[in-house]
Amino acid sequence: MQYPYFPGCTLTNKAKGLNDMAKAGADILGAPLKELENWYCCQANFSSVTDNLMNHLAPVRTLIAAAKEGQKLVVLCSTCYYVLKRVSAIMARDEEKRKVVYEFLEEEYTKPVEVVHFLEYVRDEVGFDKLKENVKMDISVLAIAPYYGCQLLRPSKELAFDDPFEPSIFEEFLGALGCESVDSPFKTECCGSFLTTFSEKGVEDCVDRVLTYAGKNGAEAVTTSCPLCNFNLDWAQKEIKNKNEKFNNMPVFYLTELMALALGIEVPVEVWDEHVVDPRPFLAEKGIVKRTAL
Amino acid sequence: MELLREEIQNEFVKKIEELSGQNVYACYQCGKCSAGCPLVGQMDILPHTILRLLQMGQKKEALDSETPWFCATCLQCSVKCPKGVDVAGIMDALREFLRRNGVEKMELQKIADRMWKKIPQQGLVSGFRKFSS
Repeated sequence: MQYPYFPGCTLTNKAKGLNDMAKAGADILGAPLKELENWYCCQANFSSVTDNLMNHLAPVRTLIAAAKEGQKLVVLCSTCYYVLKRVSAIMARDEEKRKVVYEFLEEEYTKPVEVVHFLEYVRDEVGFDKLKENVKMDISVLAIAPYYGCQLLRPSKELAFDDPFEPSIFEEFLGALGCESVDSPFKTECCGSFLTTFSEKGVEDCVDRVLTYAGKNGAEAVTTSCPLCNFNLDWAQKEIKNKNEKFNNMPVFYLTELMALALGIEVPVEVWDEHVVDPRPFLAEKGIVKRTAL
Repeated sequence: MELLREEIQNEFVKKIEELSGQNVYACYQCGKCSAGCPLVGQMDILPHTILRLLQMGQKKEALDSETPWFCATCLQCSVKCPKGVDVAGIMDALREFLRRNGVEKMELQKIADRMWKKIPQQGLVSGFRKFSS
């Protein structure tokens, strides 16, 4: 079954590693991601104030477009997933708001589209067993801490993605890829999110906690599905290291980059170049990427 | 701080309740929101104390605080609240109230040139949405 796929703004620009590797992996798994023909920016924030419906319009337009192409909409970026799913929930439960929005747009969808994350898509439409069968490269030497962040899990009743306190889907995905997944106490805590434009210090504090405790549990790298989490976790390390020599830098992978490595897809140089902490020396040391290929 | 009976449940507090869709008086000050907040180290007033200020109708103290600006809307407080108060929603309402009154916190010149090339679009868009009027 093929469903439309929503990449979002960042994935088509600064997070190519996340987008391109997802598409390449999905092709191998026989579940290709077909980009939704008519999509709009998700707005990058879910607007929680009750009297402003303008901010819901773009996500609703996307949901209407998606409903024309399938019963589900596959989303990879955690922020897009969070916004689209929450707006979809509001439209489903609040008849008054739905009426105002539809009257303004002069269009409405007759059947609600289900917003699913890429991890759910792989689990439910492909199956983690089939993912495992397609693994070509042994990456069992990699000890990776999955980082969920906030926007996949909270508010848990609306998103219903996984257990909000003890999620496991990321671990199951990494298990299918064959790498060691390391549990860490701050895997569902905030990375600082949009505060990166306001308080780098605030972000550094959050990132320091997440990475230091992941490292103490034995992780050599972390993985995310959110370009903003990925950026914060990657970018803040330099300043954290400046302030604390004992801090150990670690690469931050998109989940789809690890999937690409395991499935034997050649990861282009441009993808590795997106990183701040270059993962290539780490991967070479582990024998995953040949030094000559760097 | 002067507490006046007539200030309690004033128009400002009613507006914050309306914007957030929350009942600030539901909070019984257990402090779980402040205990679970990852940004609390940056805040000048603890999140549950902001709730107390609203319950007491203290507009100036609540609006002068830097606390709402440091909320990353991670919703740890909202899922942990035993009374079901969406504390992050109240912080958003306070920000929205300030933005509608012309307060601007986005300083583009502070985003260093080097970061400009790497920061994802969603970081900028959400930054503008949260900090700019």
